[in-house]
Order: sequence, then C-alpha cells, then structure tokens
Amino acid sequence: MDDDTLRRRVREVIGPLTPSSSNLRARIAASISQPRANPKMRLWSWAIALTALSLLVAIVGTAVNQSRLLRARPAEESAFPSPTPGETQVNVGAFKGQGSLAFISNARLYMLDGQAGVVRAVGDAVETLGAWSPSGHWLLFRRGQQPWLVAADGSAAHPLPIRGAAGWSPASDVLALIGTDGLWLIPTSGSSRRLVSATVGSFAWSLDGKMLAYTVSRPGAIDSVFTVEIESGLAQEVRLDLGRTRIYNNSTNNGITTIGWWADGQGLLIQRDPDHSASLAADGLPLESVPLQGGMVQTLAGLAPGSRVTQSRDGRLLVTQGLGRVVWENKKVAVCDVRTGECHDFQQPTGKVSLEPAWSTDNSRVAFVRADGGSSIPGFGPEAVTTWNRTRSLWVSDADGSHAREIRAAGTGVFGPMWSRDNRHILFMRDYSIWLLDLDGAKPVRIADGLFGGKLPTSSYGQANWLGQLTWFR
Amino acid sequence: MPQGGASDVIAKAGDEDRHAFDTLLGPLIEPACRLAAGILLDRAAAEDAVQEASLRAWRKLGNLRQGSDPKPWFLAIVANQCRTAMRGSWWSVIKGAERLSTGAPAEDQLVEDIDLIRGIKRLRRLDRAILVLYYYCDLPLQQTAAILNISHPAAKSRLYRAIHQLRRYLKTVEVRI
Repeated sequence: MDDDTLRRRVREVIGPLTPSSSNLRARIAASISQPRANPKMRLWSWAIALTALSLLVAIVGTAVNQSRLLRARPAEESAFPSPTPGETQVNVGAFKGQGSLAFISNARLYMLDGQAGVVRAVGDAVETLGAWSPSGHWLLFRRGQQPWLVAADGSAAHPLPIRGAAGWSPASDVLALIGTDGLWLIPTSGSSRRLVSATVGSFAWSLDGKMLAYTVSRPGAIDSVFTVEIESGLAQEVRLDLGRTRIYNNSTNNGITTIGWWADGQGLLIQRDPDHSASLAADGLPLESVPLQGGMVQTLAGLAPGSRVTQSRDGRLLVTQGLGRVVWENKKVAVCDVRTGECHDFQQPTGKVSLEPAWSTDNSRVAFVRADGGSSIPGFGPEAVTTWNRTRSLWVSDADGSHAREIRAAGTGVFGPMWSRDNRHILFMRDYSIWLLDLDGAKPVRIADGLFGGKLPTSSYGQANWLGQLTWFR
Repeated sequence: MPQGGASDVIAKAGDEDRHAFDTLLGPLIEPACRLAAGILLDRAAAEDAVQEASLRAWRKLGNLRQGSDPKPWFLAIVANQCRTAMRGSWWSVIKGAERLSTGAPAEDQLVEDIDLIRGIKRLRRLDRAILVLYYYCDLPLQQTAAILNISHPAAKSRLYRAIHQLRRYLKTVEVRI
C-alpha cells in the first residue's frame, strides 16, 4: 500500500466521522457574542459582557413573549445528561444496510446507524421515543413531558419550546405540536407559526402533509372536529352525521380523538369517548370512519386499548380489534375498509388471541403476534402475565390473513414485530432485547439488549408498554 | 418589542463579531473538524471539541501575535481540546459502545474499516494527531510539528512509528515522507 492509498484509506474511515464544517461554522458564529479578551481591559470586558448579556436576555425574553415566535432549535441547548458507561451490548454489523434504529436501553438513548455502521449512546433519562422525521435527519423523543429533538448523528439534542403532543408531517420535517394556546407548526429549520388558536385536544396529519385534522375541547360540551389547510390556515368544522351510530349521544360531554386520515384524504378516523371517561378508554373505544364529503359516520371496529392503527397505501386499515382491557381475551387482527366500514377478521384457532399486527412495506403481508387466550390463562398479576408472555409467538400471513404460518425461529415471548424495507427481515423484541430475523430461515440475531432496563412494564391485564422503546427509519 | 438604543448596539456588535469570526476562524473550522474527528473518531465528540476550541480561541484571540498564521495556533487549541475530551466520561462511553459493536459479523470492507479505526485508536495520542494532520488534514510535516509543538525530526520519527504500528492493520504499507 503506497502513500496515496494510505491517505485514501484514512480519509475513508475518518471521513464519515467528520462533522459538517458549514453547519458547525454557522453555529459557532451564532454563539460568539462575548467581546474578545484584552489583558488591559479584562475587568471592563467582563462588566460590558455581563451588561450586554442581561440586555440580551431581557430583549430576547420580550421578543419571545410578544411575538410568540418559536424556534424548533433554540440556540442554547438545555441540559441533556451525557451517558455514563453501561452494559448494553449492540451488534452493529448485523444491522448493516437496515436503516437507522433508535432505542432505549437502561433509560439511555442509543442511535444505531446501519449505513455508517456506527452506534452512539446519545444521552440518559430518556423515557419514550417518538418517530424519525420523514427525511430521517431528526428523531423525536421524550424526557418526562418534554419533547426533544436530536439529529440522526446524535448531535444537537435540544428540547422543543412547548410541552405537548407532537407529530411529524408525513411529507416534510415539520412538527405539529399542541400548546396551551393552540396548535403550532415547528419546522426543523426556520420559524414556527401558530396554525390554530384554540384548546386543541388531538390532531392528525393527512398523508400528503397538506392538511391537519384536530379536535377542540370546550368545557361541558362535545368536542368538535376541524380540518385546516397547512398553507392557507383555512379551517373548517367537520359535521359528524352520526345516523344510527348514535351510541354515545346521551352524553353532552363526549371527548373525540382524531386518529388519522383516509389514505386519499377524503375522510377521517376518530374515536369518541363518552364523558371523557378514562375507564371506558382503558377498555378500548370503537374506531369510527368519517367521510368528509358527507355521509354517515361508520363504526369500523372496537379498537383494543393501546393498539396501533396502520394503513396500507390503498387505504386498508390493519387493527387489533376486541374491546376489554385484558389482553388475552377477545383480541383479533382485522383488516378494515374505511369506505364501506367492513372489517375482515383474520382466522385464528380457538383459545388464541392475535395482537400487534404490522404491514410489510409493500402491504402484501402481515406480521403479528399470536398467544394463548381465553379461560386457559391462570388469573391476573405479574406472575401470570410473565407466564402468559412466554406464549407469544411470531406469525406471518398474507394481507388478508390467509396462509398464516408461525415463524418458529423467532422463539417465544415475542413483542412488536416490524418489517424491514426489503420485506426479508423482521425486527422484534424478546427477552429484553431487539432481534433481527431473516425470513429465509436463518436464526435471529440479537441487535441490542437491556430493553426496559430488564423489567418490562406490564399491567396486571397483560398490557405491555413496549411502544416508544424503539423506532426504526427504513 | 423595544427598538433602537442598546439593542441596536448589541446587534451591531454581534454582526461585527460574526464578520470577524467568519474572516479569521471560519476557514479553519473545516481542518479543525478533520483533526478532531481523526483524534476522537466520533462525530458528535468532534463537533463538541471544535465548538469548544473555537470559543476558547475566540476568547484568547488577544494572545495571537499580529501577523502570525492563525492556523497552527488554532489547530493546537483543537488538539488540546481533543485531549481534554478523551479524558472525559463521554469518550469512555463511546469507546465502550464501539468496542461492543466490533464483535458483530460484518462484510470484508467493514471489517477492514473497523480494523483500521481500531489501529488508529491504539496509536499514542501524539502519534495519532500527527497521522491525522499529515494524512487527513493534508498539512506538511513542518506545520504539523509546529501545531504539536515538537521538532520536525521528532514529528517525522513519530509518523514513521505510527505507520509502522498501523502496518498490522493494513495488508501492506509502503510510504514515502
């Protein structure tokens, strides 16, 4: 190997680890505000610097209060505890070419870059992960009630200026965020703006990122549903034609949550909660479909509590249906048509439940978890749940539930399957670890361990809060 | 929002500072990033080190002799900052995470890259800095020696030693200096 080759190899291995100088240059330039030190003028310099700083703080404070201009990325990054050495094992090589994976292990946020072959321990005291931005450049996560953003390379972690529910536009790196004074749009670069001035309870982006649906709460009244155009800010109330679905209409204080949009933008998915009842919500609520061009609200399915709703490109919904808070009772995977309101349950043997379905990226197949169900479960409580969790196995079927087969290589105690971009691998959780399984028959490979700090947060009814522990950009 | 007066003065001062920074230190950020990345072998840590070093250099700008080249002076501050960072707990964690990751199966190129990084990581701090300044920042050996405050012959022998050590991580190494 000659001199040039060594130079090239050094560039090749260090190059990907080198920060972008243009971004950094701008950041440093922005942070330089102190006068330069001069030995003769040091005391004066300090005095001037302190005065300038005080003035600056006052001016900035006034500006923020008066203009309510929010920045997605404040110049000053709030304290984010750097990680201390831990015991997490991460298998970077096995994740090569699989995109980016963020996960929490022992309360520490890790970011695994499958392209660069690098894992970074980003920071501690992280509780739940949100989603990657559509570009994959940013990750949303939460520490307590505070939403934070961090860049994909683990840098620039900073809290968002509002403590509230946040969600990415599906089309661009813009967040919608619920504040106490309305619904805000916060881009990752540039100025934020308040889109809605009202007490917003929930929101959902349309799939093209051009519209938002949101609910407004009024004391003692039924929540209202609106849609708003992102560009013009034009809002319109959605009239709910309840027809024969008037199951909760005796209440004058119904809560409404917007769950999503139809894939073609012609309708909404909502859930209604009588009297804002936490007890009813804990048992799950019906998922309802609302056509925006007129027509009755249709009840699609009784959505199992805490379950996800995912939509195929052609508008088929994949849900876990079955009301009731006990996970091993009455739970089925179903595919629903938002227009007709019809749901097709996947076939399952007696004495089994099916949970946590996920579309393959081409929507041709479904991965889900199947477990023992019904009266065979020995009671409630942590020990019973631990025993029951061992019956969770990984299954794959066609999109309509046919040709279902168990993937025995995955073992038992499986949670949260997700498909890789090439639909050849499935990522899942088992034994407090993340595993990647090649569907061509290879054994699963452990990607990382230490999930949930070795203690899965499970309720007595078997509900495991595994959502938010990992998020995958494919 | 108050207009004019003190806020204008501060804004103007800020603009002037920014202009001075852009002129003086701005062009040096890129080689500084390369140097920090080469020493720390971690992007986030390198970014932090360059930022901290830049602020430190800015505060000590009065120490720079008039008419002298700011590049070696600034890169020396960056190298010192990297040394400080390597002592910190963050560095320990990154090392730990990478050490754990290298046991994974990987393809040939990735294995070679990991091996080379491991080889660079095992170099002494000063040797690693020389290697990075010479091969990655493309600085002549004379300037490399000045940045690290060592003599030219010492820099040359350290570079030889670094290449010799890296030999075991590369198939063959024949270099002319």
